[in-house]
Amino acid sequence: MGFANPLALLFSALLGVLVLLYLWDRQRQHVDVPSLLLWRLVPQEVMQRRRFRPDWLFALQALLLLALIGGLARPYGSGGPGDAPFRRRILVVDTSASMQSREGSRTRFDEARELALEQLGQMGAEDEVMIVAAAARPRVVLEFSRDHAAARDALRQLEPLDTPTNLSTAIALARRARDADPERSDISLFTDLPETTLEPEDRSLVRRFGVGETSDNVAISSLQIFQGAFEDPGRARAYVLVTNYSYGEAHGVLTVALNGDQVSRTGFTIPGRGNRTVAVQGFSGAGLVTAHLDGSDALSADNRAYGWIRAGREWRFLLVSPPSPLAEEIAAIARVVPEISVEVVAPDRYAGVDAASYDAVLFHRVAPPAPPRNALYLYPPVGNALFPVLGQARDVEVMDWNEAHGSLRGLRPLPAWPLTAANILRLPPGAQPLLWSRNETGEFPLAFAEEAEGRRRAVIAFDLEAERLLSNDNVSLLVFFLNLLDWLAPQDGDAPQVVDTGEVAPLEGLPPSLPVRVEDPHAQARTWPPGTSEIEADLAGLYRVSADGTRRTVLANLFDTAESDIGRGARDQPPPPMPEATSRDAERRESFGWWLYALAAALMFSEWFAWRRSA
Amino acid sequence: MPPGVSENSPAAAVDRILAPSSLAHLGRLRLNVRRAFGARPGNTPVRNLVQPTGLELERHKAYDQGDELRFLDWNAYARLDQLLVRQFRAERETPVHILLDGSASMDVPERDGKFAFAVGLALALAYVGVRHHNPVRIALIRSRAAGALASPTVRFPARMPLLAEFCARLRCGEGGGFDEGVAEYSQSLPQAGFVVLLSDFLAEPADTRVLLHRLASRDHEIAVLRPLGAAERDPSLLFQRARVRDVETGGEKVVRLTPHNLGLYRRALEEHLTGLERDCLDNEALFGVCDIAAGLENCLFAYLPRIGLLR
Repeated sequence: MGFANPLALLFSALLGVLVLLYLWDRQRQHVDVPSLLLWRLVPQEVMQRRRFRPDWLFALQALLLLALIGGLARPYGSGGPGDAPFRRRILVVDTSASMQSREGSRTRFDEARELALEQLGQMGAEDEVMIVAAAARPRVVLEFSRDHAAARDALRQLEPLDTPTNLSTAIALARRARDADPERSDISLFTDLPETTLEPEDRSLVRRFGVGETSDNVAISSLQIFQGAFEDPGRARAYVLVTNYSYGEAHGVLTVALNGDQVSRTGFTIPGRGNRTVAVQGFSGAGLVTAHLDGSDALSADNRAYGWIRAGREWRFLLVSPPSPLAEEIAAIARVVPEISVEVVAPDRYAGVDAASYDAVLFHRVAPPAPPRNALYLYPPVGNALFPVLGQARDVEVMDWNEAHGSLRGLRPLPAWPLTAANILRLPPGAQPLLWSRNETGEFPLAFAEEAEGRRRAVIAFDLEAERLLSNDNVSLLVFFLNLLDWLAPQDGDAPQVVDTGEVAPLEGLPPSLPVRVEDPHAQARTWPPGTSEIEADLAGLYRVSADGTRRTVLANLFDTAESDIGRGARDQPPPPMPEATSRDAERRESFGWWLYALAAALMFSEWFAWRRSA
Repeated sequence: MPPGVSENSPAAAVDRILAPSSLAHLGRLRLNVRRAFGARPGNTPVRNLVQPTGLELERHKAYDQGDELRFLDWNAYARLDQLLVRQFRAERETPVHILLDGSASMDVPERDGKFAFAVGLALALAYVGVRHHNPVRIALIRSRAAGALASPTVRFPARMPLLAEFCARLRCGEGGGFDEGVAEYSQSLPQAGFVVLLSDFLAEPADTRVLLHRLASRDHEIAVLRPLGAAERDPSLLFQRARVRDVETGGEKVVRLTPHNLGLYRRALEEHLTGLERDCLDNEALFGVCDIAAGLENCLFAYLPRIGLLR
């Protein structure tokens, strides 16, 4: 027999209070009577007696109080005192970009870390602590451990990233850890986000420690580089969107550079909560575009942005087609776009052409065996050997499309395309439908693409010639066709990927059997095991990836309005006090305590019933 | 009952008395006055008092010189050959003084509504008196310092609203002093009459005894009505354990109502009532204990006729 929460026994002093209340209540009740003459026979000593003489109602109340105190004390059975009281505390620390905001001489993250260390210092020696870093993805920094020194070190080594915040995932992770022992676990969150950003069901579970007050931030919220698929670098334009997230006027200078050489320098004044777009053009060549804000705002992670201008090149296509209006239209396109050259040959002369010297080969109404390079098949005829024709359809419409494919990205609405005629082709295994339609027998592809053995192959199953590629009504169709050519003749693999921070950037074309070396924007290099095919872009800037001479570059930008808008009023209310530790053993036998609560409830009902009867 | 008027308020009691059904019942009653009468002719027959004319023949007397011849009973003279003069029972008005205790004790226990009951009773008796053209006055007797609060004297039923309005405004005062107040008020009465004392008489028995003797010695016919409520009869309805406070003297006692102590209280109450009744007998006063819990109507139409105050 023992008590898991012996401090609760201090409440026994309430019994004394109850007695005092009882006496006071007895003395307090004054009743006016017409005269004391009628009370003269009542013995004097009885009238003046004041000593404590409890009645059965008082006994009920005292018993009720004792039962409640007993329940609070969590008595356990005869199995011994059990383990020392302890709790499992989960510290979730926001490490998103906004936590880098300066608040006076310190950052918000410094303040959060200090609060977390303070909480750590208040924990009992037997308390277990788990640390979760919350950024775009949650990361368990420290599993449950009683090694508070290690936890302290882990907190000190923790640094904020340049990513947006995804608190809900981190809280979900913490909840899963808490659900293993919910009675004894609690979650503390250190963040600059207000409580309203938490899921309603999380608010009661999480003790939130808010940090951060300032809203002083000017950010590059977007850097868009427009360079047509077949345009050279000199025709590229960059648009930089600068946003003032503070409530006062902001001033600064925006510098845009190409490969480190300044291209433009623009001073600006933006009113509170306003923005301004700066257009930059006249780039002298291809390369890394850097936009940089000179200013002294609280958050610097969003003061720099990166983009890339592709190098100019010439596309050479071979069109294998009988004389037809479509061949003339494609030749006309080549005349208009200087970067594209198209050579047209008749099908019977194709065998004598060196197809490997072209970026891609276009077959119109013919489907000879696979060429050595990438190929586009336009309206493969009935009876071809590559793509079996299952039937023919007329007057079909595009029912749906694969907008994730590069050839269709940004195109809409395609259902407006009425197509005159199409062959119903069997979709090859591994092919990706691009457009499809439906007839009475089911869905069938109108265009598809596949990539195998280092070659790309696309098929347009409908009669492109009948649709008049250069008609004013078919601009979407022309764009789709050009995009498909662009996809067939891809850019150099060295061109960097531009991603937002917090995203996972796929790394294509790296040798799978070699370790991968990644140098992050802070010039910290790490080597990842062979087979690594992606990196997490958690810092804004330039990632250099290499594996035995194969190089890839990833540009990561912090373009996140929610993250840059740092004035959130997070420090709105103090967190609730830390729960007291409980005994592991007492929790295991807590039914004893619950019985006392049940007894208290029964006593309360009895007293109410007695009161009703007496009233 | 009008909104805002408590059931235990004098105004509510007045309303109940002035209800047509109550007035119709009261109109059939009259005060059973035995010897109190005034000098002015009225509607109350007075035993052993004769007058030459009237409705009820009282007796004959031998003719004396000076008697008016028109009162001779010629029929008797023809039969008996004696000169006899008819004498009729005199009818006089009875001055009715209803003295209502306005001390603080009449207001407690509050749940009994003792004062309101007494006011209703006073107004009802006043109506019975006025209905037979007796001059009636109601006086609220308060402490000597506050003095008495008396209504105008009313003789005719048409002026009953004056009394009703007076009664509806009555409130208890502070402190006691009913005995002294009555003694002082009685000195101002010009002639003997029918005095109804409506009080709880929670004063020293000797004082009450002196008061009754003083009134009786001035030829007043006295009726003593003691309203008694359920809570005063059984204080366990109010509390089990409390510090009781005398509203008139301010004295206090911590009291626990054990069955024994409750028995002692009841014994004291019984002694109080018995002593009061004995004093009344000594002074030829009518005595009644009016049960408030039984209701005003029960008291007026059943109890008071039974004890002989009304008939």
